[in-house]
Amino acid sequence: MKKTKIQFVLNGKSVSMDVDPETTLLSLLREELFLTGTKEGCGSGECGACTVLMDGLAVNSCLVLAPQINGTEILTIEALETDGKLDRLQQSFIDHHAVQCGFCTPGMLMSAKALLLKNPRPTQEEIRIALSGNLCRCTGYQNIIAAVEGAVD
Amino acid sequence: MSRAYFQPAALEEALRIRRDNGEASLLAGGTDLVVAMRHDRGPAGDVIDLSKILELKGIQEIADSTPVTVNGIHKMTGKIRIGPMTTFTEIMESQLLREAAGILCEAAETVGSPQIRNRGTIGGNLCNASAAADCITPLLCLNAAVELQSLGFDGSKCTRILPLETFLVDSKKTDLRSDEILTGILFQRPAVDMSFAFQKIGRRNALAIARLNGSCAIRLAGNTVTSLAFALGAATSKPERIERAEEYLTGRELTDEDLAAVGKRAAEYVLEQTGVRASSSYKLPVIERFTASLIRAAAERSTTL
Repeated sequence: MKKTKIQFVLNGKSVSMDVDPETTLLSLLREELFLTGTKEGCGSGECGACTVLMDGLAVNSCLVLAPQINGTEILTIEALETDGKLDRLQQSFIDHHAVQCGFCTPGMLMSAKALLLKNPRPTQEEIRIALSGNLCRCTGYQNIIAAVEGAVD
Repeated sequence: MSRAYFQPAALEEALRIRRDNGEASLLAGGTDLVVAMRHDRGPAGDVIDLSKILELKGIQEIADSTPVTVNGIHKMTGKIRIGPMTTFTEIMESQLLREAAGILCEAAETVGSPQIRNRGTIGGNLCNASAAADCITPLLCLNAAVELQSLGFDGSKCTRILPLETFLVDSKKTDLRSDEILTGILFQRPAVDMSFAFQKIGRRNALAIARLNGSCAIRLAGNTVTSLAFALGAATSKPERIERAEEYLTGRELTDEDLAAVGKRAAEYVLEQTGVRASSSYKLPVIERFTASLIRAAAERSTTL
């Protein structure tokens, strides 16, 4: 397929590149931009491991075609840490033992980040809804919920 | 594979591309099409990405001339128009819809997950035409219509407005022509004395495709049903109004006996349409109870009861 030129903002930096329109945002991030923090789980929008923020909203990057990010702002897990300092959410995940195998963690963090950007003081119910598109096979979720609650002011 | 990918910025350009590429797929939120493309099950033709066309987004009310007074409450009446590229999240968060047609917000809340609701669109939900599509039964109970546009070779724009129930032909089949794009979803703001309910049965709360879903719009005078719209999804090959249930209950008092009877009629209708299936021993009794519970839930929200 003929390549398409796209421009977008990735983790605060402007990017301009030619992409194969059938490439997903997930493949673009991992295989062309070497941002491998975003994980591929099911590849069909059911597990949330590949969650990134697109214009501030959590999306499954496996369901977004690369040209669709044209003109948007993408935030990946790599952007949570700033100047060597962990985001409050990341520190809270560590403090609450919310990470076991860690495969779901980047997606969980990005879903939680999207929630806190929109709603800085969520209730536990709102946290549960915000994380409902992210599967975890290790933790049983309780520590993840507690970690997000712990990152709220 | 030699697909072409188009990303028009305006509706007219999209209609022109659509006219000239009859086999092209329309890409809305991508939550169905991208999965299909990935598994090589998707349509082989070109892709027209509608996500950059602002004209296809948003929710607005086109007010009629005069407000009406019902039970002492002044209400504006008007037609509500939803752009097909409006996402489920935008529907859930719309103050206008929450107030005028909250049932649609309730249905949108049950779709997939936050990530899916941030991408999936109401137009995609209608055009994908799954029998289990969550936003269809509320729109059937709102007597919604769809606006379809195409561009002639002489550059003239053609608009068709169809009742949603006519647009939905069968499972995964709509009356959308190969040169048309869905450009609007329209319905009259419901009267203030109508009350509504949406319910869904899925295997779990998040990311569940409905095993059964349905909507009800009811108007009561005292305890007597004066009008009823009732639709089921994932029961037959497409979401549809169950007319015999509507006819049976209209004019009757809302009693437990009649609710049970109307449930039986809904289940009978579904059995006639689908024949006996492996799922029938589960679904038919569930449809009976679900129907009664859904109509009861709508009635309980009625201000006149």
